[in-house]
Amino acid sequence: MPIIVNLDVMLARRKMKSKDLAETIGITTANLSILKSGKAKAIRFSTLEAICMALDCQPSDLLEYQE
Amino acid sequence: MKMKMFGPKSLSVYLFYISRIASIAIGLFLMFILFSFITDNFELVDNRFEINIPFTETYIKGFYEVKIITTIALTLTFYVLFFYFLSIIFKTFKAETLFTIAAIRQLNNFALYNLIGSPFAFILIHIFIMKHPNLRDIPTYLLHLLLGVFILFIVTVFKKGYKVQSENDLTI
Repeated sequence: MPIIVNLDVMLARRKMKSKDLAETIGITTANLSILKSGKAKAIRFSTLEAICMALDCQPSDLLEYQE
Repeated sequence: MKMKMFGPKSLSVYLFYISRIASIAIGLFLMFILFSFITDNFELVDNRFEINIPFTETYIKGFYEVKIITTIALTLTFYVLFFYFLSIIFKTFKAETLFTIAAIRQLNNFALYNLIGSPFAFILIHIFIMKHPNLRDIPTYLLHLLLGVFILFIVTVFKKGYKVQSENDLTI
């Protein structure tokens, strides 16, 4: 998929575990894993907002387009 | 009172049990008839057999000919399988998730059974076995064909539903 989700990078920068992020934003670790692995078909704005708030970052820090 | 159609604790649960019981009951009835013939548990009057159905005051009657007995057996077998396939569909309908590959596959099988099995049974019974000169009982078989076509439409709907559900499941 051309859209890359750089969640692992941001989690490492903020020294946060996936499990903690999932709990903070209210999604399951399985769904977070789907997001990290690039298997997700879409992301809701509400989820993106919650991740940005939890990781104190911008959407552009998380999402990258590669041809 | 609003009743759920799909999922656990829905109408599909009851219909699963009803259709499964119907399949088993017809199967047992078929076994009983065949067993009666094998064990000579019938009366023969004017070349017509009479099998007493226990606990009821009714009989199964017919001409004592191989083609009649074969027709009865084939017709009952057709409906044993019909209700069995139907029960499998209701089993998939009572699952937590409605749009699954299994549901699509079972619906497709049921459609094919009606579309292929029904004309096959009609041709076999009415043309080859009974050698009927007219198209008697064809409305029943036409209804099965119509059911088969309708189920194919349902299959298409379910395929679309599965696609939308998968995309929704992968929307985080």
